[in-house]
Amino acid sequence: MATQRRLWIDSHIHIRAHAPDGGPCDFTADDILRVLDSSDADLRWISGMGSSEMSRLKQEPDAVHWANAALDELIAPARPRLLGSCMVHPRAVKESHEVLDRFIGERGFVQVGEVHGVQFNYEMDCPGMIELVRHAAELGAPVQMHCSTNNVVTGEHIRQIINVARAVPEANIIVAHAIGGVNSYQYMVAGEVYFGDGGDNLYFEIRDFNSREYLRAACERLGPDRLIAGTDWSTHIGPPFLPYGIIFGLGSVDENPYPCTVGSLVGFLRESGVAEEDIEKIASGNIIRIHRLAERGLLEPR
Amino acid sequence: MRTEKLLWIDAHMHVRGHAPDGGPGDIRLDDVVDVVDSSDADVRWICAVDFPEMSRLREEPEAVHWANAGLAELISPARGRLFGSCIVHAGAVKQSREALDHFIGERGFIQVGEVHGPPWGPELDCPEMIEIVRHAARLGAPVQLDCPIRSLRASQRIGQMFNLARAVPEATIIAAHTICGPTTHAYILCGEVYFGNGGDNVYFEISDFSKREHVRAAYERLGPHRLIVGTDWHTYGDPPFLPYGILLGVKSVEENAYPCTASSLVGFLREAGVIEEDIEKIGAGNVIRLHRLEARGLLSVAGHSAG
Repeated sequence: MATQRRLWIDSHIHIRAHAPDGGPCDFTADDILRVLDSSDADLRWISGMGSSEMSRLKQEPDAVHWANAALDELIAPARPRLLGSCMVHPRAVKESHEVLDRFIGERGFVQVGEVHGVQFNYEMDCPGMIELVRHAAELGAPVQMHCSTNNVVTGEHIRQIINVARAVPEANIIVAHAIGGVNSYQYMVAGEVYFGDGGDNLYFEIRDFNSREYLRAACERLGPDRLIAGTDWSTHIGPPFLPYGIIFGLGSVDENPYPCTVGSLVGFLRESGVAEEDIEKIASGNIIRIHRLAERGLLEPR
Repeated sequence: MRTEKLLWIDAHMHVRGHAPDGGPGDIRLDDVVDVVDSSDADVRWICAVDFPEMSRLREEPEAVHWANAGLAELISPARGRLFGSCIVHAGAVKQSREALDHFIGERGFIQVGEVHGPPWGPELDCPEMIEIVRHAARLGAPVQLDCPIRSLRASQRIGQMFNLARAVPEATIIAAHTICGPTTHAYILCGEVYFGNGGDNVYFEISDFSKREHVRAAYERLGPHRLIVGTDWHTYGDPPFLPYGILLGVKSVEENAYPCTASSLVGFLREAGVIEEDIEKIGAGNVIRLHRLEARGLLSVAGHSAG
């Protein structure tokens, strides 16, 4: 029975709603739901746009409505198993305000992001983004911001993210794929300093659950209330798509060093010393709270 | 003439006041001053105890007076060129407060440290250390904290350093040898976060000037007024000691990747884009201000010469 399975909500999924060339989508929601159905958990996803939309938005920031509308059309029938994350762009502030009102305010999207500064050639703490984050906070939507896992050793991304969090303390800010890559410790200690100074609105995604050392440190130092699942699964291969639980960047199940199951991810949490009560928080409880899923009636069994 | 040379003050030197086995000091003041004299700059050092003292303190925290007394006895005649940094230990609060009163308050030491966390002592942000740092702040002495530099595995100690700085905002905190290695960007980042939230009492030592990328990042992101010199020179082995300017851990001049001179360090600062006015701040101006050297009349020309 579905209700007996562990509820597991992943805040960081990418679903393209257009073909790779930007044309009409070449798959249906069923292709996505097959991945969820084949999971060993009661899986729910918060889905942002995929590579097709990102390619166009890099050139045309004001195409945010086009990008979000297609995602909405694709995933709306699968609500609440698939929930939307609204893309915005600070070079199209007016259009971004409109999509926030439309997709968060009216169409039931529950998150903003993934805000991707570097790939879109803007700084995440620019005035336009701060204005949009304020709007997101008014709508009660957490904002997910890209934070390099391995190739920005200077910590530039987390610096910009913390600047945003400090500028908009009423917003909940999610540091995307913060725990799992080689920059994990840097993000933890930056978070510790931010929290030590009274900051209270940062949350950290775990991407690589098999990196137990980072997991253990994050849980001990940031606390289980600050951690959520965000594996960065994407529709880059398929359909049929890769199973949930696969390590980011791998191209086939055979390459994954452990079974692609939620059971594996839970096992890694246990090996890291995370208590059962805290596993539940990381698996779903924190997102339910931060995204107010219960108040919004988005937790009914599938 | 000494006064024509660039004034260069290094806040992080280790000079042993006892023999390696903990017995009476086995080096002469001139052995140390020879190193200072042979520099191409008007070098002044802020000196803390070295391994003989650290080894005993690890086992006997209450031996802080013994540790500081050996150093004071050795370097006092060279005051003005060699300044003392008072060692304390969170495992011996009473003795540490007494050492602060005696060596800072009466014997002219101008700094506290290098304060070590585990495995040498308790966590940096423990209540005992907070009490000691409050006392140091009352005496006007900056506190130098040991910071991990090899790996971010110990990065919780970075957080502890900022916890301590936050707990005692009236204290001046020096993050030892932070601009030099694999952990540098994490320190710069945390400094930016701390300053962005209103903190204003942390300063960073440059220990490896040859890492221009790190120096440039620290200069641009933290600002020149946050940076001081702290090369972590030690009295390893027997005299004659290694020259000033040698990289930490390098055991002979031949192994050093550049000439062991203050000019080399200044050259690296220039290559990192630091302007002349800011080189002066980093080289001496910031320590003069933080340690109130001018106000204390400690900037006169050296009163001791070797041999």
